[in-house]
Amino acid sequence: MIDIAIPLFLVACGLGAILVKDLMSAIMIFCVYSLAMAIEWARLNAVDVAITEASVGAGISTVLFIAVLSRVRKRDETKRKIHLPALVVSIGMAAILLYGSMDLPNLRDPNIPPSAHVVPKYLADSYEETGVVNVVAAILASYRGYDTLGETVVVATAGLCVILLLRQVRGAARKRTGKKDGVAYMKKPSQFKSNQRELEEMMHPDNDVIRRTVVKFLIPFIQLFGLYVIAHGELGPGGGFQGGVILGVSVIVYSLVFTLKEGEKRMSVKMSDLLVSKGALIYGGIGVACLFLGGNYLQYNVLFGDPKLGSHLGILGIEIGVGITVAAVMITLFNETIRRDDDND
Amino acid sequence: MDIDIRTIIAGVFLALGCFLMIVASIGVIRFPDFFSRMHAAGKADTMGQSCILIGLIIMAGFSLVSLKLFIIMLMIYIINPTATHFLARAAYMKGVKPWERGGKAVETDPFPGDSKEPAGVKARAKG
Repeated sequence: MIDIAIPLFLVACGLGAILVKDLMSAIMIFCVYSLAMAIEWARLNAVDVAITEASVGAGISTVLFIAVLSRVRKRDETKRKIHLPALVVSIGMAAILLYGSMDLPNLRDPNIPPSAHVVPKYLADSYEETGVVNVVAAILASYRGYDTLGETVVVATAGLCVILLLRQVRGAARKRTGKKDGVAYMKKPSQFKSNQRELEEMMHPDNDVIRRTVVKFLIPFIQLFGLYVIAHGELGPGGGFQGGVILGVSVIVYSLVFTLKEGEKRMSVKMSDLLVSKGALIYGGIGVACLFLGGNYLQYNVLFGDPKLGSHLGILGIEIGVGITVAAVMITLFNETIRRDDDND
Repeated sequence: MDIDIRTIIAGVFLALGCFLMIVASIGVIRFPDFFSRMHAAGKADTMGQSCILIGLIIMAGFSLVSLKLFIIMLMIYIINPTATHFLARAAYMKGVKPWERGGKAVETDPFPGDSKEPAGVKARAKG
């Protein structure tokens, strides 16, 4: 029954997120959608994906959406009217896709190409060849190491683009108009100021003992868990991407609860900027080290005398690299969206 | 079918937890204003979740899994009340008005978006 209930719930959440007018509610519905999706992944035995969905979909993207929402209008005010040609095209497209999906092979059939081609080899030999127990980690880091390198570089590039775009715009605007707003705020400046003061008062660390105590108590545990997920990725579900997000969140929580200024005392802008590229550099650097030691690019088993140990440590190394990049990019995305010009003056 | 005492105790805890969670959900729908709704969600949810986890711990026996469940329970004990506290504080500072005896149920918007003036100002002007 739950196999039917969860997809239905997902569809309901999707419709709700589209139809609701208040964007905050839409974000919350989206968060619930991701949580249900994580449960569905776990039920399908894709535990790695479930962890990713829970940490990225339900965790960090909700926070980032809310951060963006603090800069834009909070209600969807577009007039809803049905555009007939668009409706026809999308319904036709959906019908064609559904028709096409009927030709998909039965996923439980062991003879279909996805199960028959390389998967048996991975399942049989991955431990012997890579020294990693978790087959998902073995495929991601070793067999498909180039793909993962590409993904890491894409994440790092996204972080760099955000830095370039948002900081550039803000700096240029300040130069042009003196000290006034860099990005167009929806609120009038005076209202914004009063809101800001109220927020400042509310956010002030001295005002709330519970906030200060609990967050300081929790952050070490969050970080420990993030490190555990990164390092444990080869034995069980987890890995650099998920653990990196959790590590990033621990810093974001700190700047969310205390002010951004306090957060940047712990993790300076320069530091996170550096780490964005350092992670990808570690990943690529391990590949180059393999070249120097006489193997192919990212052929880990030449790294140490014992091929299994080399492969094991190589994969751990690139997981750490991925984790560093992802964590730094998450921190950068959050900080750059949430920062006001007033903070810089 | 053999039912030993451990299954019975675990079942009692699970049932209690489910009951509390349902009570919490009804409370969130039925209570008249933001603060009392949150009171329902915060208290009954914490207890309900921990009852379910206690039931699961008894089911799992003494193992690594039950230790992990126990840690999750501790985290819930810390995080849930804190989250409730944050929400209540934020709502109070934004000027969400508590319900009074004899009043109508108020549908409060805790995120007052782009209303002409901040909610806090409105509430202070009235009071």
